[in-house]
Amino acid sequence: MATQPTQISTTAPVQTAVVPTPRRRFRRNHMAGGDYAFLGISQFFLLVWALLVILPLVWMVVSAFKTDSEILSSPWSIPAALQFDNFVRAWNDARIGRYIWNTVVVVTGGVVGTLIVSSMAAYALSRFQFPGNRFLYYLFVAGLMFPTFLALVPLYFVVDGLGMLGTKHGLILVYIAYSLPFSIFFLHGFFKNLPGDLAEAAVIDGAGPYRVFFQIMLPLARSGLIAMAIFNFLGQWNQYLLPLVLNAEQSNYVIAQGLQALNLNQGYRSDWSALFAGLTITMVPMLVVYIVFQRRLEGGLTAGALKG
Amino acid sequence: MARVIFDGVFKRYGNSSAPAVTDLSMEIHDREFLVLVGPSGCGKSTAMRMIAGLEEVSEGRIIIGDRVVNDLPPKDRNVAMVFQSYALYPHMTVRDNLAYPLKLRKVQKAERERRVLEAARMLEIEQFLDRKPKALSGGQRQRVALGRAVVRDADLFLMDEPLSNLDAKLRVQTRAELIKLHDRVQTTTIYVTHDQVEAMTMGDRIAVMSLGVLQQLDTPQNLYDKPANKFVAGFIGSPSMNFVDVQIEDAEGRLYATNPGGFRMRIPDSRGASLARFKGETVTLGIRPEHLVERNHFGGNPETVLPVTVDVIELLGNESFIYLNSGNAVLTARMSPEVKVERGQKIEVTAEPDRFYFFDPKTDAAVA
Repeated sequence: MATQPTQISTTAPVQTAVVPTPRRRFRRNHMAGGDYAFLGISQFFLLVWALLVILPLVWMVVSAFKTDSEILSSPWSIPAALQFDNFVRAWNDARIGRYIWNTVVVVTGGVVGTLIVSSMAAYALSRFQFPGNRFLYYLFVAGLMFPTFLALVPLYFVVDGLGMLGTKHGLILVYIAYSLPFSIFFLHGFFKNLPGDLAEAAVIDGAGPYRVFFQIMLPLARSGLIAMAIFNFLGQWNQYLLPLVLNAEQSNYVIAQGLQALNLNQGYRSDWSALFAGLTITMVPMLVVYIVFQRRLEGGLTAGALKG
Repeated sequence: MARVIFDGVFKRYGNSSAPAVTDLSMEIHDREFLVLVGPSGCGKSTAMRMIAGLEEVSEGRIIIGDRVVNDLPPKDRNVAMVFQSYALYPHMTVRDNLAYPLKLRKVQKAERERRVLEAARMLEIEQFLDRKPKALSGGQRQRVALGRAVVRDADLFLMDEPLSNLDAKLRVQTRAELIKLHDRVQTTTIYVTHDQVEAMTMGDRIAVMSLGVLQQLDTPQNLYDKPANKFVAGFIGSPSMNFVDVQIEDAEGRLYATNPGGFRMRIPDSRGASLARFKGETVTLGIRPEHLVERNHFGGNPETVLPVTVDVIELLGNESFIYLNSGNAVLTARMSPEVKVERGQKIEVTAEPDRFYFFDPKTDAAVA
């Protein structure tokens, strides 16, 4: 260590002559007084935003472990004892367990169905020339701009006509249709930018159209498919409006409806702690999915963005 | 093993007026290494893709072996193709890449493994069999792509600029290996490239294409010695052939090539007969840079010389390129570095009589 200062002093003139000039200029360009101010303000807003999101969540989780009287008398306190019983009541009495299961069934069916249909449609639209190709593509993309509210009443009659009101499979089909526009739009760009040589190589190697799709192109679009799976999982898990209208059958309620029912019941039983426990239970799967797949999601979305 | 015949083949895209391939007729012999060469957009890749079945034939017939393949799907044509991008399946190991075409042809597993190993050994990629393509260098990927063709035991290899993604040194090396590979497996090979050096060094015969039309199909040496037209003459050879538009003048029974810029050169008597019909008309004179010699180094007829001024000299060590002005014509000469000239110097150059080429300016066809 003792030799270091001498080393620095001998090389310092050379360094100042060559290296630091651009570095200093770089700093001056990028971090002038105004830049610091901008950075400070943006950090401040991000901090406020983060607090706005995180604090209610933390409060919800903390409240889920309190008794009703604790929630009402000292809303900001830490629970005196952890009330795991709240979760048991929410799961059994408020049937959150049942609703979660319903949601898992519906969302799994919805996501899997969406991926199968949208990947096939996007592949065909992006890689095959046929009359009406553009028209179909824009029709799907136009679906992105169509507000669900406007479709609600006709949709009700369609589902009713199919005899699927209040059923899980009815909801699955509607979720698939609802998710198709964005998924097709997204995967279209993905498939379009996969190298065409690979498909042609597979054709020459002896693969038919289905093999080319399932064995070559689909594996190549994996990151896009994963991104779409997560995206649609989160979106469909959060669905409230569609099940509210199309799924009046209480035994088939999805979680959003279950929580709403629990909330309405407050008027009679005021079981706040069970409500918070139910909310916490609901949130956990989404949080897990998001945290586990977060990098995949961002990776897939940006890969698509760069290519498309 | 198979021959390939193009019989009056056209390829038209949509409603565009000019066909991508026009009336292509040629026969590629069994076991031949045929190079399709031409500038980009000349239809060479389209022609190859029609053989593979990746493009439909608009008109005419393509025959592989004894079968007309126009309506056969690619998988039934038993051709293997090597792509410029290599087109290796990125999600499969090298082993699976090689085995994939065999798997699709329902080759038994033991046989499959034997053939994969054999191909891998031939191309020296055994040690990479369990890697994914992204863990390989460009040259190694290229070998895997070749391996996928070799393993198939196909009737025909199609190679679409397979060397153009390699760096210059590796390209030369792989070129030699491809020739050796062809000698060994003897499979009829059609090789597309835009690089005339690749074409000259690799092809048994070369088909030169331009604007969708086959210009000439011949051995490399014949293409060089007897180009059928101005396009082939200019395309084959580097630096490319010098062209000067000249008038054929008759002075006392001797023919001269002249142009208004002051270019004047006596035409060797041996070429007089074929040029007689162009007397008083314009033809295109072609001389290859390597055939232009400085007068002091030339022992032939001293009258067939061209006075020129040295404009630029490029020394390359083993040779030099000398740019010459003669009137309004600019000529390139490729000379030995022993020829000492200076910029601005006036010298006289000439070529041997049978090294002059003449082209009909209306048809661009060579005047024999």
